[in-house]
Amino acid sequence: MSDTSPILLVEDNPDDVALTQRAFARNNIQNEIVVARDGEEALRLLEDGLVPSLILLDLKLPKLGGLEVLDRMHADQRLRLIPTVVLTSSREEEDVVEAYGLGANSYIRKPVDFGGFVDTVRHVGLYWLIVNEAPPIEGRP
Amino acid sequence: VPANPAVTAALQRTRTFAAAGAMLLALTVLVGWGIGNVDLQRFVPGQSTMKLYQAGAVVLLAAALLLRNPAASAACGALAAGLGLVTLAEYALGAGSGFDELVLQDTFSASHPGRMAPNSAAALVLLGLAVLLQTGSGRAARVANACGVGALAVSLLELVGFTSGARELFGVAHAYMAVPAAVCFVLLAVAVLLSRLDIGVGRALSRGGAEGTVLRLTLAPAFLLPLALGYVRTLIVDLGVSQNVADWLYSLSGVVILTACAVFAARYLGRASEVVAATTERLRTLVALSPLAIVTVEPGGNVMSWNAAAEQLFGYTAAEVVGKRTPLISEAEFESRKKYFDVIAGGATVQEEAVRRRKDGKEVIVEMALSPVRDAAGAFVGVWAVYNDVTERRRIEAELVRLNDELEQRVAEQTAELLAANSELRAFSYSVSHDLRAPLRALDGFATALEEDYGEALDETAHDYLSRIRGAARRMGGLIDDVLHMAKVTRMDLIREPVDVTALAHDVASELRAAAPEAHVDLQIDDGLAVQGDAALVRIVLQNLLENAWKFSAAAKRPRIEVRAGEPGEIVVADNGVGFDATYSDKLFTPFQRLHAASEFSGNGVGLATVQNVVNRHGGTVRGESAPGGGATFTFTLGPTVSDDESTVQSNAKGGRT
Repeated sequence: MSDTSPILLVEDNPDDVALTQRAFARNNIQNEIVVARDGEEALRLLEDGLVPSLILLDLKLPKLGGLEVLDRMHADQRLRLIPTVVLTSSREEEDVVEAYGLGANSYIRKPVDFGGFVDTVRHVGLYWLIVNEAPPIEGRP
Repeated sequence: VPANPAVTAALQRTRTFAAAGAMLLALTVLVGWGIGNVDLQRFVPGQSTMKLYQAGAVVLLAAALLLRNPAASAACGALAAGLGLVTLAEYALGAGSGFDELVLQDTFSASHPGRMAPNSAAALVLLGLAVLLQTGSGRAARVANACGVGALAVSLLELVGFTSGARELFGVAHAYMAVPAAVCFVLLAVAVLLSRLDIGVGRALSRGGAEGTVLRLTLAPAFLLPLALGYVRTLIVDLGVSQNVADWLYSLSGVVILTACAVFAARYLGRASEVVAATTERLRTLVALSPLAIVTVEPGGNVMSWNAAAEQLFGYTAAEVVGKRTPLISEAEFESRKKYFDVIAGGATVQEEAVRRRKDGKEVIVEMALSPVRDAAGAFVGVWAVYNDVTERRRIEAELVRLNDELEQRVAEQTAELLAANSELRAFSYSVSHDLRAPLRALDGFATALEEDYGEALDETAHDYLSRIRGAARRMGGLIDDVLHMAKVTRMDLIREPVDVTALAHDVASELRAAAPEAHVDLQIDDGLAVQGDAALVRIVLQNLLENAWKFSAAAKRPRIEVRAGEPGEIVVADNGVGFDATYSDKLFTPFQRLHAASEFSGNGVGLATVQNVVNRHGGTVRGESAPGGGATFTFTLGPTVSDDESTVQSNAKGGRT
């Protein structure tokens, strides 16, 4: 059973947004992709009642960084249940440790080559939207 | 003046001889009683006999003095004194108690048979008390001393009376002290008085210095001369020489002998005062030549002496200050320091550091030691002050502290700068890893999109361009990764420990084999290779060197790689690959510098730079040697090369591994 709720993509780089959307499309993942350009916007969307099936979160963001977003979500009873995948360029060990510590469900480094990226997105979509049993969250259709 | 140990020993010997002599004499008298020989009882014909009990008491007292045992002294002393007291009581009551002849009958003595003379009894009481009390402390010992002196006086009077033929003066109740008894009593009195050298007569005689010597020189003649001369006079009168001639001889010998004693004592004192003068002179020279300023000051504050070093240190000449108030401290300060004088007068030495003002107004820091000046009688008459100038030393110390502080400050500043630089580097590499990669992803992604979506509309050249764009983007991605890795190596903490290089090399080699199972490389790794270093970093070094060796020897007919020991502390990685042009060996370790075309061998030119980075962090060296086609040899050390001896020690410490 695939989860058809929207995917929240938190990413400030429009190139990366376009490439991510393209990668989802190429993998035939039909879920709506809601884009937040910074951490603040992401939190606002979530507080306004958006219940995504998956959050793809970059760490380096304007205003509120990815780790801070994780921190706020972790403190919220409802938001902490939403599967969150950190999708970023960095693989600084400290970032990885801290992200998991703040409740990230997965940490993926964006590869430079697009072929690799498409593969990665396919794996993410397959696992989190189809294989994985989503938590029951109020407000989810 | 402390007692002279030789004198003390001589006095102790005299004491022993005196006690032993008394005992011998008394024993002889006892033998006389035992065999009924009157001459042995009296020694001098026509005189009284020494009585049985009297001789027995003398033996006991002499034994107690020889044994020097408090219990024996108390018992014998009490017994002798008791015997004397009973005898005196008999005289006082005018009645015999039967006690006198309890053991043996005195068939010789007409009056008071078996009973000693009253003065003998008195001497015995005194000697008994002296022996009883001489082992005691303080007052008891002083009483014993007085008793000894009394007994000596009583028995000497009797003896002098006998030798000078004037016995009638000393007979009491027609009873005379026997001559052997008088001699015994004199000897015992001498032994008693010398049994305590810390008190009374013993102390006076054993005293060190001129005083004791003169006393010892004059006291013996003073006692012995009248005895000896009186006896000689009696003898020559008995020989028929007239009384007047005998008196003349008596006086003359007295004059001669006493003059000799006086000359002897005077000479001795003269020598002693010469010694004192020489010592004083030596002391004066010492003070004059001393590099330390030495000053004496009266309790009132007037300077008594001022040596040359003091003139130099304080700038005042002796003439300027001697007899006047000390110029070194103000009157007020002198008054406030008066309490020190009591402490110093009590014998304490005060040591302290102080600031004193020179004549020219400059201040000097001095270490000061103060101790009392005493006159001949031992009274406190002033203060010795010895000054050591420590101004320069203190200045240097202060300078040292200042320099040290400055150094610490600089180190702190530099550490802060270093930390700042380090954190900047961290921020930079973080930014590189994020921001520099994003455009590359866009380049590759959109080139791919273009190819996928509009591929059909593009010709072959356009496809080639797109593939070049994507290739360039990926290469740059790899480059960024390598640079980040190199930066990470720089940042990693270095933990030095023994590292098993052989095991690490085998580990890396198995990874290389796994990645390229088709390659047949002859990989020779020596056993027992070890270094002191950070295991993770050493692994990075081996990984890079072995990867290079693997890569560059792949084309050889029989690829061969060796990992072996070089000079002590060196590890060598050698291959038989293509090598490199030795002309450019200085560029080997420059980041991004490649000596082979990218088309020939892949790589970014970061591997050897990373190796050098690690080796440098360990304080070691790395070098590469090659001739083109002759293989490459890389040699590295971690830390300064140690000598053979030290490496033996280190290898022992590591459990025998070399």
